[in-house]
Amino acid sequence: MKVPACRQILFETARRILQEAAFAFTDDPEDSGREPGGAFMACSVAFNGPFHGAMALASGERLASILAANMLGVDEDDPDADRKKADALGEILNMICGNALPEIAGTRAEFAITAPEPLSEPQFETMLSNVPEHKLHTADIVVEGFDAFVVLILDREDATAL
Amino acid sequence: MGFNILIVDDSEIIRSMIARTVRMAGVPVDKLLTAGNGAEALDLLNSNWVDLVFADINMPVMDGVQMIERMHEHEVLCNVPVVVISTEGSETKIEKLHQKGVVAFFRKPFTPEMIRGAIVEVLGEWDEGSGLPTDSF
Repeated sequence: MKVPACRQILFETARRILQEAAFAFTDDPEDSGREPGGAFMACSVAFNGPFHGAMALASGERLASILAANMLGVDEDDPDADRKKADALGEILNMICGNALPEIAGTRAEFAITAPEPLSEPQFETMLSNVPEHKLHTADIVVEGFDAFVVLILDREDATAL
Repeated sequence: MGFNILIVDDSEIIRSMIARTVRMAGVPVDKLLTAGNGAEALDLLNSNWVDLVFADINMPVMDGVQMIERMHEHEVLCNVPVVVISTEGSETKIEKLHQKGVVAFFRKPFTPEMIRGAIVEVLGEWDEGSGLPTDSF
């Protein structure tokens, strides 16, 4: 599997999960303008199995609130949507990771996935800067007009082949 | 008259989504109980009659597999059907869960149809008006 294929899996899986779990409209970044989405939010999960690594999802807090509202079936200005936005972002990431790994490693491969953890912007940037380029796969996606960024870190010897 | 359903997931938003889906599916519910991990769920199962459990796998304190194993060691709780709703996608893990007595497995994201289908399969159809099982008419 070449790098573009891995990135494509990440993008397609993220798009499907955002649509099915949070009823969110998605676009290619090239096809749509981006809007600033409030303060930075991110979270990450780690996974361990035939190979190990991590996945992260970053967005603005407005998008996270929209996702929470859609998942809960409440209005965007509902206090519950704001209160649960970090949980929403974490669960969306959890679903992306759980659905993308079988696409990458095969449906028989077993992985243990950790609970989502919030990341600050400096932590997120440090995580990206500490990973060798050949182990890093990223996908930009525009969700409900806002920018989101999905990161996959594959820590395996043959990661260059992915 | 309705069913007592227990939802076990460490995510508050997922518990809310499953609860909302159960209500949207028109399931007659008497008690809708929620727990944030397997240990909390076992406490609730020991003090409430529960007809069906929806459980996640990856949870802190006690995960879903440990909870299911504890239920199987119990003379009453071993009969309570468990439906797993998880992000896990491994066929190997799903086979192991079925061997542990899990009646159905759904990978997140789930749909209202999946939830309703699982309830019908496990608990049977019900009359929309009275909430009674259709085989009681």
